[in-house]
Amino acid sequence: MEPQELDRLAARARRAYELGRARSSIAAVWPVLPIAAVAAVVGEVGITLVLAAVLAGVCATLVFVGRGLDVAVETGFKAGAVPMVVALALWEGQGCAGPAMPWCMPMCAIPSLLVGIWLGTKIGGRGRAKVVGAALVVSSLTASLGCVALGFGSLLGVVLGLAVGLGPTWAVQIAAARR
Amino acid sequence: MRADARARLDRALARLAGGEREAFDEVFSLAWPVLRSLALSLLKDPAEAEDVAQRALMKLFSSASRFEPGRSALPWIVTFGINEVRTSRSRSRRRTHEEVCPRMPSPSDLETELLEADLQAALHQILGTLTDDDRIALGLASAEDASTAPATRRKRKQRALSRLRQAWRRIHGTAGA
Repeated sequence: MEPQELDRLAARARRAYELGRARSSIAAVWPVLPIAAVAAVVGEVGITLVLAAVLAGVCATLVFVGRGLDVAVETGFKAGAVPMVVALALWEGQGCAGPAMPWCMPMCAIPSLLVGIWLGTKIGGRGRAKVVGAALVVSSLTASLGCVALGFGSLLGVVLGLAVGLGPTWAVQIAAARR
Repeated sequence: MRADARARLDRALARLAGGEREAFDEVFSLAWPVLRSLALSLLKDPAEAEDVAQRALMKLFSSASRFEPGRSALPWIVTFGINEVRTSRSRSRRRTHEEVCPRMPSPSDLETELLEADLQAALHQILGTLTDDDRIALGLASAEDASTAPATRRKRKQRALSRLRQAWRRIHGTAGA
């Protein structure tokens, strides 16, 4: 086979590889559908669909890029599902109606803080800044699907809770690895 | 393939599966000779072997992200080659079969043909009982006199049809025709 033909074959193979990755990335975001369906039924439909579309796009991109970022998707889903379920349960059970509303605002921040610590121990480590950042984005978006029902202040609670829980754990792991 | 090349292929394919595009060239340079020599050894036609190896290579790279690190890459790659050779062989067998036996009639075609033959035989039997005048009146034979009035022609046709029905009933037992 001539070198030029070999180059053309390599280019075709590269395209086939990228297409295969794109297909896998679309297939990998299926958990967004049931999560979004539950959130849309219990919470508000419009904002839930927008957040779900953003979450699906972010997850598909992370899986397509790979390089360890695909690990962040699954872990982020699991981590974000906890505050999401807590928020939707409170909302559906009318636990946040009327005067109880101020008490509900931290109900997304507290589980997010705990989940952030778990996330740090699970995927934290030296040289994994991108993976940790990606997991933070995926878990925040997943949690937001439920927490948005408790108000936009809860979304801030989710991000702060996750970041505060994750940051120190990650820093401790890096320090331990350096020793 | 030597042991060190196999180990390199394992590592490179695992990296490519994880999304490291830098590993592409190494996987390509190691996998393509394997697929090509496999196809050439299993197929007689070198041109067909080349096509089959290229198709297997495309399928291999299309599925590369599904490769599980820790597995041995060589058997995984060879599976793509063997599957493609099998597909090519069954395709050429089908082609040969179609050339040897062009368009065998299907069972439903044969059944229709038999039914039509039965119907034609029954029709010939009935028409044999009709007179020449009746056959002319029904348009089954020519030589209708042009001078005959249309009303007369209509009447003759009605009578001929009636006799045809009677003949059918007499022979086959039901009022068909």
